[in-house]
Amino acid sequence: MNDLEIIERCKKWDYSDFWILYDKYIDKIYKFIYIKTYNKEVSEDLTSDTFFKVLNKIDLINTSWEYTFNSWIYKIAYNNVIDFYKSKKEELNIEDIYDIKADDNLWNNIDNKEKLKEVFEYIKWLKQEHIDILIMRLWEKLSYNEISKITWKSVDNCKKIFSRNMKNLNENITITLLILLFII
Amino acid sequence: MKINKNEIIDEIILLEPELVNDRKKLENILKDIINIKPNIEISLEFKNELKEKLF
Repeated sequence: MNDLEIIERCKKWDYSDFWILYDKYIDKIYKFIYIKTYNKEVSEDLTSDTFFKVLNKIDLINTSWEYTFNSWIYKIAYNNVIDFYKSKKEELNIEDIYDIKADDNLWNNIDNKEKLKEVFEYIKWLKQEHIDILIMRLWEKLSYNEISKITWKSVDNCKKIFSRNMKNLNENITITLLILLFII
Repeated sequence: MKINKNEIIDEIILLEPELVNDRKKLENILKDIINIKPNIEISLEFKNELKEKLF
């Protein structure tokens, strides 16, 4: 049974298979939100809110659209993160990543901090919305069509942003290498 | 879904043709970004609690 078939059933008040969607997307959505908030509690809250919104708005999905459930749920999660930052009225500085509080169970928090630092050292000169597109394309493996639906940008614009930023990374890495060569 | 790096590089070069000689470098950058994806784990307790609340 595919996503849209499950949604069709939910629309008829049969939620018996909704858990299939839940199991399929819970990890992806949590990780997507975590990468954008760097905070376990906030990520859990926003993930919960995303799934409640999915359930409450499931009637609004037009299953005949190309608009897949995948892009729809990511869009809800993406908007939740945007609303979270709007409500906090602050832009998360990329340096805030260093301030993640380690919680008691620690899972892989320390590794994550180091890994995330590494990631953002690498791409920190890019605009946040451009980082989002890189992450959606390369980490979430979303298509340009899906990214377009999530970000409200045209497919062509998403492709241009992605390509231009790859070009910038390519140039910046060259400069970094040259500087390193001179230092050595 | 597996990312097809060659396809992505082709798309980049189509829009940024001056990168045509930088294929290898682009491939390495792509590989680096993909590889540094942090291994984030979701708490099982949270997953189960939310599932209970939803159903």
